[in-house]
Amino acid sequence: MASPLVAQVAPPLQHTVSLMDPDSKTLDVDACVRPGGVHRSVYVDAAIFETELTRIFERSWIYLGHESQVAKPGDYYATRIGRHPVLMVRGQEGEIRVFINRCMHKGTQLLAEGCGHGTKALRCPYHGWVFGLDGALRTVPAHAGYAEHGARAGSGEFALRNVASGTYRGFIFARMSGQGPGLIDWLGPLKDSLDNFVDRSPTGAVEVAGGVLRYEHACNWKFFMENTLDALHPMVVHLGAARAAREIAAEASSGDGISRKSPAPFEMQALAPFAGSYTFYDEMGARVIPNGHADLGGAASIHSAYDEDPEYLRVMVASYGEERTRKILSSSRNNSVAYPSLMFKAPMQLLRVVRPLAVDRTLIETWHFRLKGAPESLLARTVSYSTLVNSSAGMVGPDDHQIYRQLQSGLAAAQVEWVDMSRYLGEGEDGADGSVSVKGTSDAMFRGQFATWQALMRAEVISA
Amino acid sequence: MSDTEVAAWYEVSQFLYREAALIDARDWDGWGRLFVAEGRYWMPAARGQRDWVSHVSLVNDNALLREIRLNRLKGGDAASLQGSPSSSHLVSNIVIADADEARRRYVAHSRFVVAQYASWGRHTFYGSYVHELVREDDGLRICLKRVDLVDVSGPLGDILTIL
Repeated sequence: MASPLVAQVAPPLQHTVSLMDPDSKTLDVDACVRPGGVHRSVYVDAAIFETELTRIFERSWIYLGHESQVAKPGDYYATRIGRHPVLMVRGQEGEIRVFINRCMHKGTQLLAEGCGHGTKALRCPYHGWVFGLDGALRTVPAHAGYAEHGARAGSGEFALRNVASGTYRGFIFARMSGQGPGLIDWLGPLKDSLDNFVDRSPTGAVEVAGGVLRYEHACNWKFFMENTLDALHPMVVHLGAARAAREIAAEASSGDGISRKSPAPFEMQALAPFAGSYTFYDEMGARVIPNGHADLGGAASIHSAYDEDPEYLRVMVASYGEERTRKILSSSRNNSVAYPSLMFKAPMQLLRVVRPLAVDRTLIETWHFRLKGAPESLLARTVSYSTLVNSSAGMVGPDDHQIYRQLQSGLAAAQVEWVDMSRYLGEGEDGADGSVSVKGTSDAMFRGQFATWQALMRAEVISA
Repeated sequence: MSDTEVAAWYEVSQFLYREAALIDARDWDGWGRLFVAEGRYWMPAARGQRDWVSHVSLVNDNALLREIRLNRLKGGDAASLQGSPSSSHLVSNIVIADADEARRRYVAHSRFVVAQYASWGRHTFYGSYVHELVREDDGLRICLKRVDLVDVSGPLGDILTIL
């Protein structure tokens, strides 16, 4: 007999669909994406997330780190691709290799996540098997017992398992799957944005500096990937921070408060554009690039009106000449995305790594870079920006995070199935390099991400 | 301990308790007034971090940013501050690490436990404070408040209140 309380609960709506067939464990990928929209389940369905870990994160080039993190032989950096512990290490001859970070004996994770320097070999902390920096099994304690079974120095079967890797301008990517396009082809026109990141150094070299922020987000990884290219949210979500800054600036200029400095302090220059108009964001433009990549901003961005250090301009001109310096510094791409694991800000010398932990948990790491040969004021500006914006105690990042949290909980409502991505559908100018130029507030960047998502998720195998 | 040292320890302890009470009462103007004009509220992003210029921080507020942060806390229009997150500070293990009575400056070390409650959940922060204080005519003021979280290497969640 139903209680009165139960009787008041509405029956489930018949039209809601499960995109994951529970019996065959197959996913109807094409039911997840339609022109101008995606199904809510791509953000909230744990089974879809598990499929993403293999079909998206094992089949794509995943950003691991920068070569300056493993500057010398014996330097290593241990991280993860999805749930796989991986290790990048510089060998004795200077080459960088990527391995599964797992002992070939019992499976112990060899090295804790993080970096280490100048190791001669990789020694398992459990039974003391030792591997060379080239991954070869070097020594097995009490090896006599294994004589007939092959676990001995030099055994190919017990060498550390290699992961395909590639480097572009010092940025190191790896891919679990042996299949698919090479790194350079996969990056395509996005190479320009990584070039701009590095070309901003007068010596054409950057290095990791200034520490890292690790910020756990209670949301699906794709919200972050989309939001960094979403030019319709800053003037809403970040108005609080921009308003607070503007009010203080107004107080200062009226002489009733902090004395007005000329030029405006960097922090004011950094916060003010977050309240930029729709026209400002539309006009900065965006590029949609094959394989899910994109950039927001070009000739203008939230960073393009910052004062430049005259000494920096001087050393740039000394290295590149006036014209090339102007060309390098006039490219101001707010945010660039190398789908699915990396967002970078070429004009700010920082990047953010997206590490999916669960359907509703994502770790975001922010790494900072020094432009070699540039004044230290540039690094100071980078860390100042990141403290203000990317920190979990900052004045911008936590507001984005709160929105992601509300997306995650809002999309739990199964009665409404579709998420809209239709803005400026069908608009854009095709470039000769395969990219498409669109307005800054277009949804085309998200549609591009989901076109790649769909292709990777659909395919049983992928070709080069 | 000399009488002077005991008196200074008592005064500094009372000051730290009062500071914590102002934060927990969300008296942002009152908390802001505890700082000297060039005072700084600093939360490093790494253990043993030596400066805020060459390394990212979790918070690095000079007078200007402190005003913006407090204005934002008062404004109530930030998504992450909906429902006005509240806090409860416990401050303990207070010692005066350095005292210069002639210049009226003190360095106090202490430990904290801060409970943060926001509408979506709660979190407890643990760590240590360093307060660099100066005695002005009307009482102690903060030159530097340094906050070191024990789990600073993260991953960290939202820090929505003043720690």
